Amino acid sequence: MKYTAQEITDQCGPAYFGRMGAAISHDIKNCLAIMNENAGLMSDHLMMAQKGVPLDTERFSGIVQRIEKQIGRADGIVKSLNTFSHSMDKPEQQIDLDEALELALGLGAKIIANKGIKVDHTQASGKLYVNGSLFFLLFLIWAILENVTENLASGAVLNISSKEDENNQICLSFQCEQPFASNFDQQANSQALDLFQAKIVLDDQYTKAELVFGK
Amino acid sequence: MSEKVLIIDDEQEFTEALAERMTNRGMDVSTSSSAIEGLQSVEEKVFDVVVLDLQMPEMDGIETLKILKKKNPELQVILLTGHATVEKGIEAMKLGAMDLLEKPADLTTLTEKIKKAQAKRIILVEKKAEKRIKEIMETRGW
Repeated sequence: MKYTAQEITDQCGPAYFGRMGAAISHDIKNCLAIMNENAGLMSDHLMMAQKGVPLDTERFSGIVQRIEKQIGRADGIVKSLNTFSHSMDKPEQQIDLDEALELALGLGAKIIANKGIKVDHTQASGKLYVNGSLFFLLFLIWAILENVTENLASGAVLNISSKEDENNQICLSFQCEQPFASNFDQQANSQALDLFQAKIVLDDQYTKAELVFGK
Repeated sequence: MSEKVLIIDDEQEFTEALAERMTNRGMDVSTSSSAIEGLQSVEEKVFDVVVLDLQMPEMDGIETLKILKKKNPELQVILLTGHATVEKGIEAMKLGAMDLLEKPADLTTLTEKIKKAQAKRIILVEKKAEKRIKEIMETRGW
């Protein structure tokens, strides 16, 4: 049975959107907490200065820099959230594969980091594009990431690379030294795979999974 | 008596700034950037209160709380998190956490809770010592 993009969005979209939203809000809260404590520190220093303790300008400048750093971090998170929120705007568009992967990784960075897994992303030498819905592609990449990282031990390194193979097919490769979960037949993922005319190829040892577009 | 506090959070810039502010207010503060490191610190030093993040790599706050309370039931734990769901809050309380605060937290509120936590720990330690003395008195028959 074939599903439309709308049907899949209705079925899988809210859960994925909610999970990413929760992770993003957690990241933003952490930025706010760091800014809050550093603003409080500035206030402490100013209060001490008012009482006659000389203001350590170098130290004060360091606190300002930490706040600026967190503003930059929060801005990056909110930009990703904005792009993610607009990913449902168009049912089909030309998508830069590496940009989409970076976005998917950024959105779920905290979840992956909490599993103790390090992700290395190697971009293709040139730009690689696929056609479809950005939201589905993000969902698909995340579904694979969750499957792949499910059985990996803390400390594992997951290498992700994009390439164009010898048959001119664009693919994303997920590779690890340890074997990972092989359960890629979930209905939702299969539906999204169909929408992208894509397939997942696993090696015998379950250490490598390739998402091949244009099956 | 200054409150002995351990902050466990993987956001190092957060722990550093919070520790400095708490130290300025007369508390004796240590920090750990992971649950494993924090559990090690508790083995090595006596603390009144642990301020613990819920979401961390390697081991989350709930798992850490379980171990802390098992090893040291008198130790008071305040969870400080950016991601406080009602379910997590209830689970934490059932496991013996004293309180749960959401980030960014107000330092005055946190300080009040730390003072209450220290007082609670002192009472628990005294009760434990009293019970132990009573047991010794009864068994030795002096």
